[in-house]
Amino acid sequence: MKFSTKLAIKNIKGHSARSSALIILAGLLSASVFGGSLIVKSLRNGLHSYEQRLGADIIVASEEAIDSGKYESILLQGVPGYFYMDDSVIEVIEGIDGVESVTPQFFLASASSGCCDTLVQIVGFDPDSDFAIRPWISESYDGNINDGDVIVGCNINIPDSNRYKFYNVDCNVVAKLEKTGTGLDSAVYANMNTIKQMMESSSQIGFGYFEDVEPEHAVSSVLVNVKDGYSVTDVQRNINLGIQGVRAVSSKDMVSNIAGGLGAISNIIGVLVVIIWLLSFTILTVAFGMIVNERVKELAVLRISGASKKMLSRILIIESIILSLIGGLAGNALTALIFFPFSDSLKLSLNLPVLIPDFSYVIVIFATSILTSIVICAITSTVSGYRITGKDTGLIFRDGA
Amino acid sequence: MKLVADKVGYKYYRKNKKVLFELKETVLKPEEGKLTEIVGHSGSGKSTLLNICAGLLTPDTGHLLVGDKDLYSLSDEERSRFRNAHIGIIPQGQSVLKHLTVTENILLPISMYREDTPTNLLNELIENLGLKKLENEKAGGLSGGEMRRVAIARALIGKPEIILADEPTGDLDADNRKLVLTALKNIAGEGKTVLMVTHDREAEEYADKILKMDGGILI
Repeated sequence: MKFSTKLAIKNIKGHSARSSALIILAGLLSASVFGGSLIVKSLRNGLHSYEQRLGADIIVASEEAIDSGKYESILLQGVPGYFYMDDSVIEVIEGIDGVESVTPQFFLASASSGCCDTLVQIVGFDPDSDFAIRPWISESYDGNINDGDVIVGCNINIPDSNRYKFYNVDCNVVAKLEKTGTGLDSAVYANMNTIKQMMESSSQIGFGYFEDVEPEHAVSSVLVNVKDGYSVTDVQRNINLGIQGVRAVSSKDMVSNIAGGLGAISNIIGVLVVIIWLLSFTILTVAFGMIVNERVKELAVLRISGASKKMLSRILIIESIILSLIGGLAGNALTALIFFPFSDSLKLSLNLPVLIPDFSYVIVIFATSILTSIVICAITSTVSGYRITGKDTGLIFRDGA
Repeated sequence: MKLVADKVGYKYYRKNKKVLFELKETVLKPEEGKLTEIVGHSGSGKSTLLNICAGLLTPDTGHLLVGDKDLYSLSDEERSRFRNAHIGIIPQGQSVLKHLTVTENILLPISMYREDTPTNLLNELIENLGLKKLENEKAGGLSGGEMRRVAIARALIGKPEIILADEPTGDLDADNRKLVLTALKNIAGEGKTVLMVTHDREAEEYADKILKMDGGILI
């Protein structure tokens, strides 16, 4: 090991309080870049995934479901819920000019009592007409979804028995879906027959989900695709005007609401990261400046012993690289330890879809943020060091820094 | 190795660019094998002249010749290596790296550019300068006198031909003062060029040649 590196390591070990303070600053700098990038990327991924999972041009549900935010809560946060309207709306919607295809969905919240194994959102869909859920499911499962089969979202654990019971209906888990970062990760999917079985069973054991609608004619939402050449807005308006008690919302509006929230949060995070950077940069410059001043005599001793200005700069830079590397690794590791286990809490607190980027992306921003921290520290220490090395050592002994 | 300061001069300036102090063009030729002492009041220019001789302060005028080299015509890298190989410097005050051990401090000049440790010389210096019990101690815990002895050992470990000492007895008690001055006298006795600046009158009895400095002029 070269003298400069050996001495830099001894200097770091020999001044533990000073080194710790610099490690914390460098860690803060690196962690702010890493954490900020991770959050923003996860939110963007979540939005993209959410956009894909909506899978329809227009979503129609009861006014109450849309206005109260229940529908969005199920999609975004996986909060179990239910709302129904009469399935006669399907036929009316099909008859509206510009509608190409429609498919119903059925939401049922499982119960926490003995008739259900776990409390989840159950989503029923019609495999014959579905164009929204099936393409997503086919990424994980290409078999048939028979009566009694369920597919579970990635947040739901599959029991050893491979079976779940909902309202005393015994279901066979046939697949687990890929993560979406949305509330759909906490849902269970079944075909309409299975759902109807659960509905009947729930009524029999006393759950009053269907007070305003006949269970056999109940649907929760209807997804609509619009024919090419027709305006989604026009079709949406026609549905709203033509059918009482329902609300049609375009997917674009739902996504843009979230995109607006995401944009605001991204901006806040961006501003915070810039503030942390400026603060850290200023503090690091002042800190390195103070440290170099404090070390004037030490550096002068090295000069009289034969160290060149280049060697002194090298020692200061190696020290700053080691400190910022340790700080960056520690700061990023701590950020990862906080972020990954609590990304679901972030989703709940922000009410936005959160989908963690893939491992290679995480590694890239992990390394980039550390590198950035190292470069900043190296620059600030070089600038501070130059004030000393740019001066005759004789003057340092006479004047100090 | 011959050291010749040939008409070296240096000016210190105030912030308003007016001259604060001037070392007038000075010629200095300390002899090899002799302990040359420059005496004078504080602020007379002794340390400025010594720093120029050490290659640590670029003179405004003149040349510094060490052996066949004009020291200030060399690049910083070359001058630093030259200083490391040929000039041992004992600066004013405490000049140790406090977080290193006594031995590590003494070996600093060797560790910079050389691979082999001169174990015999190291042990000899540690023994002769009374540092045996302290060799593995951190230098931060030493007394002023002990630190000064470490600085002397560090200046000598590379076997330099020229030794420059700036107030080597300052703040030392009588025993340590005697020990340091004797060491410098012995080094000169080995044929080395030893230049010491001081305002310690007791040091004069150890000197082979005494020069006086006053108001930036060597008398």
